This record gives sequence, C-alpha cells and structure tokens, in this order.
Amino acid sequence: MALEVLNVSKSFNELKVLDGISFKVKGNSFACIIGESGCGKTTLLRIISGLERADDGEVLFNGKTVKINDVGFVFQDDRLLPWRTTLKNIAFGLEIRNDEKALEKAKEVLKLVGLEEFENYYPNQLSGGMRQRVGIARALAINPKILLMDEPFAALDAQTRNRMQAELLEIWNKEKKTVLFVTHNIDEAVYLADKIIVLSKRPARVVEEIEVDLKRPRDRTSLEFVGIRKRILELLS
Amino acid sequence: MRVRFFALCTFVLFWYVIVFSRIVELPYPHKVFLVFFCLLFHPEPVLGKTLIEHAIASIFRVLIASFIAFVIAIPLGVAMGWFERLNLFASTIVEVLRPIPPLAWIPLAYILFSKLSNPTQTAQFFIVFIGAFFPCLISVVDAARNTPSELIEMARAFNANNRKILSSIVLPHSLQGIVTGVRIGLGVGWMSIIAAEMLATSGAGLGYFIMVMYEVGGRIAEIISGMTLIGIIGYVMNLLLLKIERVVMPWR
Ligand SMILES: Nc1ncnc2c1ncn2[C@@H]1O[C@H](COP(=O)(O)OP(=O)(O)OP(=O)(O)O)[C@@H](O)[C@H]1O
Ligand SMILES: [Mg+2]
Repeated sequence: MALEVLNVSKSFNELKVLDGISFKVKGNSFACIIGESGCGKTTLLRIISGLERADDGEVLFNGKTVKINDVGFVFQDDRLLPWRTTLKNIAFGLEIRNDEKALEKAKEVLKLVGLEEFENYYPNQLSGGMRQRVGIARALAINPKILLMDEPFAALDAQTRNRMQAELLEIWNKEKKTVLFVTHNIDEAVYLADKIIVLSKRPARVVEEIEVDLKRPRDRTSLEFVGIRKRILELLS
Repeated sequence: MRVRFFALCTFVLFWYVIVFSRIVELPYPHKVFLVFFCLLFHPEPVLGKTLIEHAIASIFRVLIASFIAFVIAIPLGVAMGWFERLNLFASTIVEVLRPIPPLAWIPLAYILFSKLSNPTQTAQFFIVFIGAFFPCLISVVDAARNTPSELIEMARAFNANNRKILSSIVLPHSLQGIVTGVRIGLGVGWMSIIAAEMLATSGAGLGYFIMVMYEVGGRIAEIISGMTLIGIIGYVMNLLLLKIERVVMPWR
C-alpha cells in the first residue's frame, strides 16, 4: 500500500510551479511536505486530490488513480460553512454522499476531536483551534483512505499548535490513514512525520526525503530531533 | 430610547411653530391626532370605511403582488449568480428596465390591463410587482455572486456536484441577500401601491383615501392621518423583517 506521486509538473501560464515532483508515501504512514511560502505546496495537494489537473505526471494510490472519494481535505483556512453548526459542518461530506447515518457518524467524529460540548455552536462562536478541529473532523468523517492537510495549524499560537499536533497523532493512531501534511514549520514536520519531503523554492522540486525514525511522543529538545531540524534548515537555505 | 423620544418631541414642536407662524395653513398636531384616532375605528363618511379597512386593502395588494415578485426574483437571482451566461443575458434586460421608477409604469399599466375583467386591481398588482421585483433581484444576484470560491472548492473536494453546490453553498450564502431583498422590495412595493391607488378608483386603500380627501375639498387633517398610517405601516413592516432576519439567520 502506498501513495505515489510520479513526475508531477504544473505551470500557471508562464509561471512554473511544480517541476517533476516524485515521491512515495507508505500506506498508513504520516508524511510531511515542507517548503517555503509560495513554492507550490497547496498546488501539489490540489493535484493529488484531483481538484487541479497536472500538466504532466500522475498520482497513484495502491497502483490506481486517486479517486476524489478516497481523499479527505483539510484546508489552510478552515472553510467551515458559517450557517452550519459544528455537527452539521462535520456531517457535510457525509451528506454529499447521501449517507443516511450522516449525523450519527458525525457525532462519533465530534467525540474523537473532543468537541461534544460545542455540537450546536456556529463557526463564529468557536476559537481558531476549535475551528481547525472541526475542519479535521469534517475530513475524517467521510473515512478517507488519504488525509491531505494543508498547513492546518499555521494560524494557531505556538501552545495551541503543539497541543493540536499531539492530538492529531492520537487520532491518527486510532484511525490509521495515509496522511500528507503540508507545513513550512520545521519543528512541526519533525514532530509529526515518519517521512519528510523537502521541496525547493519555486519551481518546486524534491530536494530530499528524510525518514524520521524517532519514537513517539517525540522530545523536541532531544539531540536527534534537533539534528534533523538542523539538516532541514540547511536544505531549505 | 431617550433620544428617540426627544426627536419626536422636536418634530411635534416644530409642527406647532409652523402652525403658529402661519407660513402655511396646517391644523394643530393635537387636532390631527384626534382625527387620526377617530378615523382608525369610525368610518369616514365620504367613503364609508375606517382607516384600518383602507390600510388592510393596501396591505393586501402589496403582499400579494410582492409575493409573486419574490417567488420569481429569488430563484432567478440565485440562478443568475451561478450561471454567468444567464447573468449576462438577464442583467442586460434588467439594467434597462430597472431605472424606470414604478410610478412611471402607472399610465401604461392602466392602459395595458384595461381590457381585463379587473383592470384597476391588475394594474396595481403589476406596479407593486415592478417596485418589489428589481430591488429583490439585484440584492439576491449580488449575494449569490459573492459566494466565496473557497467554499465552492471545499464542496468540490468533498465531491459535491453542481446541484449540491447550488443548494448547500450558493443558496444558503444568498440568504442574507434574499432577506434584505425582501425587506427593500416590500418597502418599495408599499410606496408604489400608495401611488398607484391615487390614480384610479379602487374603492379602498390608503392612497385612494388620501386622494379622495383632497378632491372633496382639501381635508388636511384626514390627509395627514392617512399619511401617518402609511408611515407607521412602512416602519413596522421594516422592523418586522429585521426581526425575522435574526430568526432565519441565527448564525449572524
Ligand atoms: N489558480 C492559480 N492561478 C494562477 N497562479 C496560481 C494559482 N494557484 C497558485 N498559483 C501560484 O502558484 C504559486 C504556488 O502557490 P501555492 O498556493 O501552491 O503555494 P504554497 O506553497 O501553498 O504557499 P503558502 O505556503 O504561502 O501557502 C504561487 O506563486 C501562486 O501565485
Ligand atoms: Mg498553501
């Protein structure tokens, strides 16, 4: 089982954004994509999900083209529907699939992300961290094989961010999925990932794939942790 | 609240000053006040109807004609917001018709519908329809077009087809525009009916009442009473719809 990105290229008019991206992520493992702002990370995720067409190359999951129903997408901005409560936002993807048990299933996921008390709140009544959790829950609710996460924690303060990272790993432990997590925060990548894919400046190429073999929960101050951080920092500069 | 009370007092005081100064001929506020309350419940002799009955006749016309206008304007507006081609087509026509005030349609309407069994009523419905339709349509189109593309993309990422996107993203996003459109449409419709009633014998209606009171010999107190009720009803309708807005959009 694996998610394979094969030689994917993409330009917007004259602007070359992705330049022959290739990497492979093992099934049910956690991969981070790191690269500086504007290098094409969101574009890459949109291509993997099928929202955008690549000019060249392909994306395979278990040897077959990725189907949009296999993918749960967590957006850089939370993109919740302001007129839906927490529960109904989480149920959105299930409703699209005409799932009769949409609300029941949404309630399960609501518990998983620890928002039971906020079931009937509207997005504008939630904190930034809670909103991101709703966004994650909405993606998890459809039980996707692949979870694409686009800098979901970028807008959060450092403390909330660290807590959300730990929570995300817990959820991932329970709900084994192939996760592709985009970030430009090195610390976040080393804390979360089994494998880190480092992208170059635009047009993005894969500079290096780093396997992170540290035991979880990881100690952000350990020598190995700091070592990997340093290596990525050098690759990015 | 105190400011509002103060504003009303200032208004009445100003009115007294004008009467005392004899710049124009005007009855005292307290006299109009008395006539107003009397006419609310006692039939006025010329037309044999109370002000309340006249008001109900006008309100009835506005509600029917505006309702028809909204039933067409709302779906059309959402569709125009979604299909760029339709928008280009329809807005070309709308932009030509929209600047024509509803009142300018009155003569034409009375001629156009003169052969029908109930020409006056039909013409009045038509004029209110014109008044209510365009503001509502414009407001709905605007709201629908402003649906964030991010939300539409989100729905696509969850594999929503166009119908689902229209019903679960564009339509709810347009709700603000729909409610505002209904509120403004009703307001314009209300102004239009009063004007339309003035130009033809309609038996009842606040506009008709005012006109008749003028024609039988300038009965100022009666005329101002009618105007007052027109103002009050317009104000209450607006207030009611603002309240409804909070009920249908609890997330605001
Ligand atoms: N639909 C589009 N049309 C034209 N250009 C686009 C489009 N989408 C992205 N781009 C361009 O592609 C480049 C990469 O954008 P992308 O959003 O993928 O970057 P990113 O790595 O996600 O950045 P960030 O970390 O700031 O989110 C940018 O220069 C952007 O202007
Ligand atoms: Mg991005």
